[in-house]
This record gives sequence, C-alpha cells and structure tokens, in this order.
Amino acid sequence: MSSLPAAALPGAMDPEFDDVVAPEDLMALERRYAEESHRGAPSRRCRFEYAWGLLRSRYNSDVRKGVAMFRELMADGAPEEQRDCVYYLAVGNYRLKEYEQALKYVGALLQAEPGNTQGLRLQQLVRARMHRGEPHCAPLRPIGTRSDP
Amino acid sequence: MDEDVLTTLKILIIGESGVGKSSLLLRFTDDTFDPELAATIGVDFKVKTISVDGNKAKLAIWDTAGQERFRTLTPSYYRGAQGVILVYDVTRRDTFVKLDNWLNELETYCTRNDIVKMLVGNKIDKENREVDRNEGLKFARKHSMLFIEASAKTCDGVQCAFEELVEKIIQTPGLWESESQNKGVKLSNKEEGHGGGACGGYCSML
Repeated sequence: MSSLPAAALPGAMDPEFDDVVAPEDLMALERRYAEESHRGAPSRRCRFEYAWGLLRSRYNSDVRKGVAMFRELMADGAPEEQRDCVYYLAVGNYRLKEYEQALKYVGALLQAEPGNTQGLRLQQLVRARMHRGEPHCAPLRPIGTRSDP
Repeated sequence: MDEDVLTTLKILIIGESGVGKSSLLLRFTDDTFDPELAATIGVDFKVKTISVDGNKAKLAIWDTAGQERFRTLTPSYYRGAQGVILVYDVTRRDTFVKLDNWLNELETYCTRNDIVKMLVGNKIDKENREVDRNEGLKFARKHSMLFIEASAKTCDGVQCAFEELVEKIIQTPGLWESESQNKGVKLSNKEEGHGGGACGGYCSML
C-alpha cells in the first residue's frame, strides 16, 4: 500500500482514470462475452461489462475496442445507459490521449448535469494534460515562463 | 508535503442505490450537500487527509455505484481495501434488508479478512423512519461492525463515521503499513502471506 499519487500533481497518474484492470478480471469478462457471442447475440449487460473492462486495459488496442463498443451501446441505449456511455467515452478518449474528443464527451455530460463531480474532475484532468503536454516531450518550465494560449 | 502522513488507507463505500453514499462522502470531503446529486457512474474517487489521535492518515476513498448494472464491475475495486463503509437508508427498509447481500459480496471479493467495517444508517433527518436505531445496532454487533446513524444533510455523525473507522484500522495490527516503511518499496496488492483465517495480523504476536 504505497502512497497514492495526488491527482493534482502534474504528471501524476489519477487513481481512478488511469487505473488498470486486473488481467484476470478482463479475462473473465472476455470469456463471458465470448460465451454469449457463441450462443447468439451477447446481452447489453455483457457488452457493457466487457467494454468497461477493455476501457481499463493497459493496451491501447483494447481501449479503442472498448470505446467502439460504448459508441455502439450509446446508439440504442436507454437515457440512463447513454449517460454511462458518454462518461465512459470521455474516460476512454482520455486514456487514448484523444483529449479533444474526451472534452467533447465530458462536455456533453456536464451540459446535462453541470454539477456532476465525476465529470468535473475528469474535465479538470483532461485540461491539465492538454496544457502541460506529455512529460517526455514538454519538460516542466518554471511558473510564469509559460506562454498560455 | 506528505512527510507527516502516517499511512494511506483505502476505504470503500458500498450499499444500495440512493441511500446517500456519495452525499456522505461529499459532506465529509467538501462539507456540502446537494439534494439532487446524480447517481454515481461506476465508481468515484476522492482523497482526504484526516488526523485521528494525533496521527495523520491519507484516505483514498472509493465511492461505488449502487445501481444494479454496475454490480458485477465494482467488486474489482474492493482489493486491498482496509476499511469499508456500508450504508443503508433508515427510511427504506429494503436497503437494510439487502445488507446481507453486501456483506456476502465483501466476503467474496475482499482480499483481507480483517477489513474494518462501519455500518451507517443515513437520512436520520427524515421523519418517515422505517428502521429503528436498535435494529441497526443489533445487526452491526452480529456482524462485528462499527455502527453510527448519520445525516449527510445535517452533518450529523458524518465526520464521526470516518474518524472511528480510521481509528479502528490504525488500532488493528498488520492491517496498514506506515509510509516510511514503504519508502521505495512497491508492495503488490496480493495478500502478504499472513496465515489467513480469523487471526489475521495477530499471529505474529503469539
């Protein structure tokens, strides 16, 4: 139980949005999805759960697949499910470093629910990442020397 | 910055949908209350440092969605938790009856058997109470949980619920590691090879 990174620190990983799924959890979700696919069309719940697992994978190819699944789920989901999908599409795009897309989705959620604390936190995180760029290509400069857009 | 923090603790909040899990957390971390708070999507996360008996502890709090469609997903956040806050709504008996299911879930998915549990009966500011205080207390005793009644709306019991939970965790040997012991060492989330069974961390003291 080493100390968790503070979300506010530049470059720090966010415990929630950067969290990686345990491989055995993803494998279990994948197995269920494969079983249901084999028997016919997998249920919405099964698709939702598998998409959720993929989204938290450490591999970008999985995250992309998860994002595609959430897009499909959103197309014909009940309003409550669409809300989940919009949020996860924002999270997925954040993980892929597709920050503009992430902002678009989180903006849609916040338009419907301006006080949504999860959405606000994600929006703040995405904006922070956009402003500083990735650590390897944009070394930190002393405060005040940065040219803000 | 964090030099004086004794330890970081992982705390979970679980319970049926609409019992006020996020409201309790929001009251605790931000001292605000929103009667129209929207349902949590999957899981929410907040950090707060508190001081208990002169010890500073950083709490990493995972607030899980109570809605049925997240039921299979949220247990993956149970791993490594040292404390759990189990919430029901005193004005909705069904949320009290379902506590057994939540305890089963904890038993199934928690990686440690000495996790400290706090039962919270929320919404005591409301008049249409359906669960008596003594019922809550009896249930908590039966399952070796701490117990408090609270209201996220009026603040009643909220601070206390978190503080007592942390106090109990800190008093439990083997349940937490101090930050200095951990410096530079990445501990895995897997069990650290205690004997298991009911004796947990006490074995080493025999």
